[in-house]
Amino acid sequence: MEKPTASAPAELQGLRGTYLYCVAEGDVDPPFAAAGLEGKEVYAIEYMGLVAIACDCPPSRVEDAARVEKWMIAHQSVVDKAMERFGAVLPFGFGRIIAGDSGGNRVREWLESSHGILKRKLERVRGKAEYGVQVFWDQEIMTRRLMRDNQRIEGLRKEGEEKRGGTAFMHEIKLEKVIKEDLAARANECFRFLYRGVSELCEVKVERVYGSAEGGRMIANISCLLKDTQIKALGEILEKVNDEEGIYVRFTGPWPPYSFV
Amino acid sequence: MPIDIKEDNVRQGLLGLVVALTEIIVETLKHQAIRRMERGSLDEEETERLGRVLKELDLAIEGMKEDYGIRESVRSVRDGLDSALDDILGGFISEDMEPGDKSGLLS
Amino acid sequence: MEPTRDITLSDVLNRLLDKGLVINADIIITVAGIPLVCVALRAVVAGIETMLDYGMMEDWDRRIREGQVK
Repeated sequence: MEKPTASAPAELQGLRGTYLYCVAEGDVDPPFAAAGLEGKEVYAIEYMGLVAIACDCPPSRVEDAARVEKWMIAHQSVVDKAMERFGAVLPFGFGRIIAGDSGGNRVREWLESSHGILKRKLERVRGKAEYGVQVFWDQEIMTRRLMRDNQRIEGLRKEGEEKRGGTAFMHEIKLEKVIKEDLAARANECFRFLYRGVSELCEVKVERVYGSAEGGRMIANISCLLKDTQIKALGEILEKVNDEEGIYVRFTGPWPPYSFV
Repeated sequence: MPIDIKEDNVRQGLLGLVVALTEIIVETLKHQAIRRMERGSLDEEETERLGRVLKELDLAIEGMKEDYGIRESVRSVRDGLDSALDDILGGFISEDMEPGDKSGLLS
Repeated sequence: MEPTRDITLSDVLNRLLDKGLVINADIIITVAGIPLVCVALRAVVAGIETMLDYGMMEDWDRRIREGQVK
């Protein structure tokens, strides 16, 4: 059983490849230059005003996670630079390679066949950037606050103090259930407030990936397509959400519009 | 989404799995018990007895987690199950709060 | 509140791996090994250990032999 190595497998040796970063629109004079994966020189492939940013990249097999991490950062950096230069870009995800010697021609063919669609997509994102909004929820703090501020729960708790034995335990279970339900309702309310506020302002995409961090568990993860002039308004909505004790907002960006292509 | 058993020791992992599942079953029992209580279909004696049994189960499970040092393992199994359920149900927040994705306009 | 450019690997992964422009699948290959390593990377970020499965590499080999990689 041969262990894969970081080199071109026999079948692909000698084969070339064209690695794709993004599509943009505009003038390539002066030429767009940047360092891509493995420091390779990035260039532009044009067709009728559309520009695909690419670099040469032979297909290879890699197992080194650290190396791939570097590649991804390089990818993001090239797309960022392209966005600075050209304004609107349509980024490719990571790892799109056209295998073979005639990558340039294939790309030009694709730019031609998809010309209309690409132009429309560019218009959709022109003047805007993607921003990420995540809301974190600290279960401990939110529980403590609920126990402190909620009359009904305080009442239930007091009721429980007078009970004994198995009956007391049943009551405890009930209390736990009520707390859990109230917390869930509060989290839902928080999401609804955020979503409604933001979608009035701009295009929103709800992400399916949730995680946790120091601030707690994620209860919202959305991507927004915003103009510069809208950042302040969004910031104000997020400020309101973040102000609440036990809830933390994370606002990242600007990103190239990965989620809106 | 796979449920991942972290420990190298397979027996530990298996114990963690068993206890996690037991925990879930007991939670379901608790839920059912409360519903009965709220519906009023339990008299005082039944409530007392049910409460005691559930408390015993709870303590037994806590004891096992402590004695076998499988707290992490149980947590990990339950998180994995939550994830799997999330994948099916579409996220922590209920579906009715997420209107249709509008990003498909030009795709 | 203002947006920050202080981003994590997880932020980058979630955008670069699942999203982006789509191009006609016929003429594209993703570099073999990259999706596999990306799975490992993402799994590590999510706190779960995943093993690189040699079986997946075998599948890649087979696809090349069958000419699915142009």
